[in-house]
Amino acid sequence: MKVIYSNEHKKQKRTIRFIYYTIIALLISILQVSILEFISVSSITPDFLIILIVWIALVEGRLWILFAAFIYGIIFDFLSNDLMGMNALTKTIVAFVAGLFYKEAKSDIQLSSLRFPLIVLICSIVHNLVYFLFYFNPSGASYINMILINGLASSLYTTVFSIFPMFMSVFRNR
Amino acid sequence: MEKFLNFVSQFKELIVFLALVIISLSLISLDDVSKIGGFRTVVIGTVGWFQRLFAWIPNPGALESENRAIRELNIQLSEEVMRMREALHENQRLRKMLELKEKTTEDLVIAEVVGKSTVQLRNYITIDKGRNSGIDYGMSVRTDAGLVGIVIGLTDNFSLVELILNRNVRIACRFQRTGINGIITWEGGEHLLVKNIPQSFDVAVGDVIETSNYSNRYPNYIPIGKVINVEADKGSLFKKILVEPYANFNSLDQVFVVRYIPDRERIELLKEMEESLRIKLGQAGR
Repeated sequence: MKVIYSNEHKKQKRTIRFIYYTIIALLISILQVSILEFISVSSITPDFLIILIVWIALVEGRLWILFAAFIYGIIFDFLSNDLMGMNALTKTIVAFVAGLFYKEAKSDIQLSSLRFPLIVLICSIVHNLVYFLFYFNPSGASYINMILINGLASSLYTTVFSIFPMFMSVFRNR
Repeated sequence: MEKFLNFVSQFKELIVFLALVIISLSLISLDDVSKIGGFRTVVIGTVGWFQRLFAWIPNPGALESENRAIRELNIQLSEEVMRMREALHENQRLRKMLELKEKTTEDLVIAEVVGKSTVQLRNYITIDKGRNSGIDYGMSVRTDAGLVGIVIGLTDNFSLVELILNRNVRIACRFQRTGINGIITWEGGEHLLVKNIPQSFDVAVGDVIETSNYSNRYPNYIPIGKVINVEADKGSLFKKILVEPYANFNSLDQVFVVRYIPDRERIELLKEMEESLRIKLGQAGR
């Protein structure tokens, strides 16, 4: 039997889902700044927020995730002691790029295939390209070196972790 | 009006995206990396408490690295003890002869490292001493071996320390042997980098690098590391000098906070000069 929901009911459900997502984002941000040291390799760490944002973008669509990513970015800026607005900007850009891959009613296929890590990789590279651009001058470091060595390494590391939600989605679909 | 509403409805995602980007850029232009407001102070305390909960988790890599470092240090120290004893006698004799005042020792506060965080090539540690122990913003942190970082966040019982392995950090340094001044940076990995030292300058592997008195953030003469590789920077007139830091960042357990704050008058003077230059440049631009 197919249950037909009213628009009001759909909105309510979506709001509840976003509250859950925000709680997850908050927990991820706390983990990211407190105990991620244990899995860092030469100061390179994965960015779990990117994985979450891509996930939400593929499930919920473009418009909502832009606001959500901006808020998650602000929360992360507070927690990580980063330049205020820095992660808000990069995470919003990630949400926009991830939103381009959104296909209505096809989110399960996207999440449970290798397309998901690929989207995470693309988003992560875009994220790091923007992120390191802001630190190019202050650190006096070479932008190309930063991107090639650290940006790419961080993106690949993030992509490796995106395989876990992909498998989770595969098992859920079975 | 209808056309406008249609336009907004058609490009709503792009409009929202651009609006959020503009808000983010405005926030970036308003803030400063080192500024920590009241809310952030609460966050530091909370994260510090949270990190202390996980401080018991052993890190095998760090332990192995610490053991190796301690063994090497042990050999060096036993050799050094002999030399120091001789030097002490000689020093006492010379001081008496020259009637020099005893050098005042640095005012140090010992602190335990309760947490480490690495976020996008920015390394921080949280220590279990804060305002109650007389620690203040801008105080340097070191180990017995060398410079570790600087206090950038503070609560009553915790401090957040920005390590020198941080892509924002640029330290005015000095080569101990030759007195050459330079700027040391970090671009990832375990080593630091000194650039813009002309090819003709005398720099050799093994040279000790310490903080320079040109620095307005760190006290003088704190050892930073030693030169492990010198090579010509391709396509430029400068050398690329690789430096191994003295402090072992993999096994930071205890650190010392140097209760010294650089001369505020000097910092104010520099700020005033920068501000006046900015105004002049702005006027010239118009």
